[in-house]
Amino acid sequence: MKILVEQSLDCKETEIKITCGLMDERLKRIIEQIRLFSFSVTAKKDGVTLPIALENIYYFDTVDNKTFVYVERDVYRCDKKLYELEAQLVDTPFIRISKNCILNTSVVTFVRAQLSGRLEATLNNDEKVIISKHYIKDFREKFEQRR
Amino acid sequence: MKKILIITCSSFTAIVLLFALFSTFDIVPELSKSIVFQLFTMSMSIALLMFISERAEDKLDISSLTVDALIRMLICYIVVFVEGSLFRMFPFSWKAIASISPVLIPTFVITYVIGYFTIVDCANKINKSIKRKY
Repeated sequence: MKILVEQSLDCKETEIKITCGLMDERLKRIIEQIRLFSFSVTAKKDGVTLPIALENIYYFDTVDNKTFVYVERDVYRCDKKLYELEAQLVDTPFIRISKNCILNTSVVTFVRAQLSGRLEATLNNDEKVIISKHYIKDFREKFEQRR
Repeated sequence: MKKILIITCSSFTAIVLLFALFSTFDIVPELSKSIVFQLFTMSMSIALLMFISERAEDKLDISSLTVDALIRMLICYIVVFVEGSLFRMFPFSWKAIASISPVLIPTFVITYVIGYFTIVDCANKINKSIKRKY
């Protein structure tokens, strides 16, 4: 695979162009990673609307039908429903881990089994989230894809 | 499907071994071909109902270990009591509940422990994958 980087001070917006024959699994993974670093989610806090880069988001959580975006040390409100986000985040490191949470698997540092049959994931910021029994299989497969 | 099979097989193994052990002390009847099939039907019914209860717990957001254990225990008692009475393993009476407890409680504990170790194994595999990343 040839990587070509053209640097110019005249360039206003970074553009990534992929020229390929058939799209294979490796290329798909590269595109997933590019998507992760190029997408953002619009969120609100204290009346201010701002875009949050996907790679900075730890997880999305729903409480009383309201969706919240959790970053390392802050929480924002998001207008999108969890199912809408889930559909948009296909082929990214994000995965549904419970009825009301979508987690960025790239911020998981450790996973621990609970007696109740659930998993407890520790994140980069030492926060802990619970993976429901029903979602454990998909969660595990997300990590297996990394091999 | 894999999960249902794991629960069925582990609970069936445990219940057959305990049944064989308790039958030597005349607590339960001698193991016969029909009893083996009945025990397998019970194990499979319990596994299926546990799978359904897991789905329901996720939907209802039940995360308490005590509630989870109580639901599972209740499933075991209902299945063994109802199917045991239907198969005429014991009479349909409240006394039967006491007589099935010596087999049921250890089976439940063994199955629960096996289920826990399956999750521990899953967690270990994920942790290995995370370590590889760093």
